[in-house]
Amino acid sequence: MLRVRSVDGSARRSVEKRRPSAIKSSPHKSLFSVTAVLQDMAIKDDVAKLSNGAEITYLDTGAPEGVTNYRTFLFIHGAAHNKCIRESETC
Amino acid sequence: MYQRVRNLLIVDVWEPLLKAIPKGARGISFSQRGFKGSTPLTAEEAGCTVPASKLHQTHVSDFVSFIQFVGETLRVPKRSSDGTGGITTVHWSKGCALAAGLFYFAKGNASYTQLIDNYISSVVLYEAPTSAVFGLSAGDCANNLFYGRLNPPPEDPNFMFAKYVTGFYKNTPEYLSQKGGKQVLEYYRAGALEPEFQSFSAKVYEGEYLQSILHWFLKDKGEDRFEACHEAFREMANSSVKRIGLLWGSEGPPECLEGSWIAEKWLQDEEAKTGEKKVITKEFEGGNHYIQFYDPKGMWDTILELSV
Repeated sequence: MLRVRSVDGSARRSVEKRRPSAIKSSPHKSLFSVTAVLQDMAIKDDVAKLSNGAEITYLDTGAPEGVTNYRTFLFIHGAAHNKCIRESETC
Repeated sequence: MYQRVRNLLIVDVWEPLLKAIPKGARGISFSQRGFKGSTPLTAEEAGCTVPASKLHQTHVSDFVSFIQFVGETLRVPKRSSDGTGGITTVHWSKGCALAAGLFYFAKGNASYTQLIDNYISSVVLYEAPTSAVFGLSAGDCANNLFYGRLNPPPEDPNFMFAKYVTGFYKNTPEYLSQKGGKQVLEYYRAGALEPEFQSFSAKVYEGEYLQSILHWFLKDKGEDRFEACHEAFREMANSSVKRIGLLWGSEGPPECLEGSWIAEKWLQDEEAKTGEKKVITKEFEGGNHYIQFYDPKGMWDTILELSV
């Protein structure tokens, strides 16, 4: 069991006992059930060769069918959690 | 099913969100320089011997060039004549520094401004932290626990980051006096230590270059960074973008709550001058630093609410 200490050192508590209550009571499905439902969604994985010489990997859901003037959402990751490349399908 | 362009499987922090994309929309995520698969950092960049502002300019150059690629090669639609549509950029955590940099370095750079005018309708800043984006010190506690221990190889970097990002940070006296609330002292409330997240995190985490991944700021000197960031937000507020959304989780790290509060103040100051309402804020009830993992549908609903 993972145990942590509060900053002031006053108490040790288990992580399991301190799950965020709002998350626990969330009406939405968890990450894993959502991905299971949508696992056939086609996402293109490619490399962009940019005009400044850089090569940037990206994922793209592609243009929606039958829509010409659609909206695009471009996601920019943070510092410590982002995609990695694994060399097998078991990633 | 994935299309394996390079016969490799990529795991992305945005993957849960991309899989839940609303009908009629397109979602694209990219990996910044220095992360596996994209152009690697140079030895100097990885060693943090380049000026922080130079690395920031490099990241912004990549970002601008990628938007250009998305427009010209992937042919995503430009903004409509009323400024809506086109591209909404959604920046997460340290990624919010890329939004600040775009508008900061666009000043005096016509090509950057033109790209913004052509494509970007909305900017969503999600969980912007005071240290990594606004250039403020995270405080002695966080510095000792996190920033002071980044020299490679980091000591259990994933868990160390989780501890830091989820609350080993004390809000400033100014924030507490104006916003109230109690000081947060515990770090295990924000989702980073949940077993499900830890399992997913093990697949997507990159700790090899953590120090250099954080080593980019608008200014080289620490004391200049906050004001430079303020200038960036002024430029953002007075740009042609139609909507600026600020999003944070009610159970997220206090540093990001405070960062969103600072951004809101700065942007609303500009709104008061221009009379143009652009800013919308959203506290995601029950959300943490990883809303896209825990609630992709709710995150999409929020992104749509914060953009045009």
